[in-house]
Amino acid sequence: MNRNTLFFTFIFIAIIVLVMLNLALGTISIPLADIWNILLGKNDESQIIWQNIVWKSRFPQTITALVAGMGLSISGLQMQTVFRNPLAGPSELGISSGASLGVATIILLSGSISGRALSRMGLMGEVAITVSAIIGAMAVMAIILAISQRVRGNVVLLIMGVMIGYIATAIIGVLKFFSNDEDVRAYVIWGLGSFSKVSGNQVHTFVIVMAILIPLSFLLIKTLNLMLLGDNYARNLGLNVKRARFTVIACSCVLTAVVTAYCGPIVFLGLAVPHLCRTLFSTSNHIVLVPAVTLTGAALALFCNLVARMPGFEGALPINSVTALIGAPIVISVLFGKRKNEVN
Amino acid sequence: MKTKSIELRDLAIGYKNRQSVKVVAQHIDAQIFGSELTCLLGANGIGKSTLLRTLSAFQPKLSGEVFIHGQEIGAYSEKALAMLISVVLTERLDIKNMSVHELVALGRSPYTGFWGKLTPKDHKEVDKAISLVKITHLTHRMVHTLSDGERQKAMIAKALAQNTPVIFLDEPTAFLDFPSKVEMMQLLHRLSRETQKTIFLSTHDLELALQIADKIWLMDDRARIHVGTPEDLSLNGDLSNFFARKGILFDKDTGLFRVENDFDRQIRLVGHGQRYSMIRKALLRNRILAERNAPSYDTIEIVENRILLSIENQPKIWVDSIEELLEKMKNYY
Repeated sequence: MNRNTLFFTFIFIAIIVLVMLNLALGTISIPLADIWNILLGKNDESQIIWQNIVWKSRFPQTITALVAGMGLSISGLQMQTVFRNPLAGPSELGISSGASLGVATIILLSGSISGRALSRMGLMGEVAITVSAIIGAMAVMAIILAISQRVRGNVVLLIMGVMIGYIATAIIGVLKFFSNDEDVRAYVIWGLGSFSKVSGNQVHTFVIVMAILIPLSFLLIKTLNLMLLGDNYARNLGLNVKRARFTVIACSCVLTAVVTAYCGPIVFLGLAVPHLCRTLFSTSNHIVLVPAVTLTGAALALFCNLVARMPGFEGALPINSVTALIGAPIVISVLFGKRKNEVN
Repeated sequence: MKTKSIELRDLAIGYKNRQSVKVVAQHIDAQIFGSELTCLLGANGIGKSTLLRTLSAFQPKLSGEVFIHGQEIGAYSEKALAMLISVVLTERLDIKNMSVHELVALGRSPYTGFWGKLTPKDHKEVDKAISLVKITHLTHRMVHTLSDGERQKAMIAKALAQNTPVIFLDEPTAFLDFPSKVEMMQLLHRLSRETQKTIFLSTHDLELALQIADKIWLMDDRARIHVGTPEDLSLNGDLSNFFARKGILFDKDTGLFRVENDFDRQIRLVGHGQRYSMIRKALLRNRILAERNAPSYDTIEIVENRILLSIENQPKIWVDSIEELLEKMKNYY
């Protein structure tokens, strides 16, 4: 227990440090003391540029990264527990693909049908993208949930998800073929994922929605613990397995859908963070894991965002490359570490 | 006092889907009593698991009634069932990083609140369950590092922590080595007495079940179930009918099974005691029947600690072990 408290304290401090660094570092570095002043609202006319940078660009981006990291990691943990499969993650069930399909449809078709590229429509276009991503993700989720009520095996369900993902990707490919270059480019950029696309009023909406969803997923802790034992044991311990599976998958899907709608498909965070936490805290107990995953997810997303914006990468690296470059080695090392422990 | 814990009335079990109904067994009328260890025996694929799954309310029955503690099983809520029946299944747990204590504590789930937090009473029940199956020394070990037998005991402790009057176990002795099998059955028998629980399990370990169980349920291939004490079933011939197969002999005197070896040669064996029966056993395995009055001119004689082999028209041979005896006899038999 002491070990866990230590880890929690450490991660909490790491988050605060990372938030400050995210605000301070970038193409223009701002001293931490000044960041502090700006955050406290001490208006100094001479710092108006810095204020603009912090409030208009870096603060929304930091908050988005923090919240998105939490959401994706919780979603990943829920998927891995429900499917009892270490490879399950938000993107594996086709949810991300569904969102992508929604976005691809709106971006790629708007050019061909209305003759106006969506990317030129400004705020209207952004809202349209968000809404279509949510619709796409929800559509896939509805299909997955319907299937989850019919099929028994979790592996079957997982494979169905992967297949739906393939179909979505294939349709996107067809859409791309019929679209003009400008629209395809706009779609590809969305697909790279970014914490910085969310701006202004959209951040408020995003944060508020996530602030409702994340605590809701904390209510599923006992359910998740029982699900670890498998359907039969869980049922024998009084859990309504069908309903529980429905609730957890729905919760997980909504989290992924909302994050993907605002940030684009972000890979590997949802897969890597639960693995990292299970090893770090060496427990499967969700009363520890859920908070651990929430905090670690936030920290890792902030770290990835920081790396993506490192001085030198002026144009900001695509966040997906960073999360994959950091996330994949984490998964690999965790799995290797596990092997070693088992031998000993 | 014996209490009727579970009663099956004209029960039919099997699988039903839109197209067809597959009946696994029907017209089952039987009772399971409290404070007793009841073992369900039957060949592979005969429906033991289906019966257990039906009794655990994991799958619906086709027809008939199952009364548990006087109430029809369908009338219990999920929550009430969780406090009535606990199960130990064959499926292997695939859990990393969960301690034995945490696993057993999950057995308290029906009683814990929203967050699953344990009260002092829950902690006491968990500790009691762990000490009942005698794995206190494993309390803080991770489940995935346990041996099969230890993990099985942890699962039984989970079932005990659930504090239900009825425990169903699906082949709890599978995958265990022989001493662990014996230990497991004795443990379950002891628990049925100490905790007054109704313990019902399926097993393939015939010998053990016949020696340790209070009641036996035999499921035969005509989907009928014979119920009784092992002794009654052996007296009325149910057991021998049931396992009547070539090569298996049901010994009515001991009430146990033994492997029947055919023989095609005989030899005279002179002596007595343990050495006599061991030589007889070893030779029978080699298709030679050794007896005191066997119609043979050849003789094996036990002289104190040595064995004298006399084959007709051959010099006598002294040997010191049965292995050596078998080696020498190979030349003639």
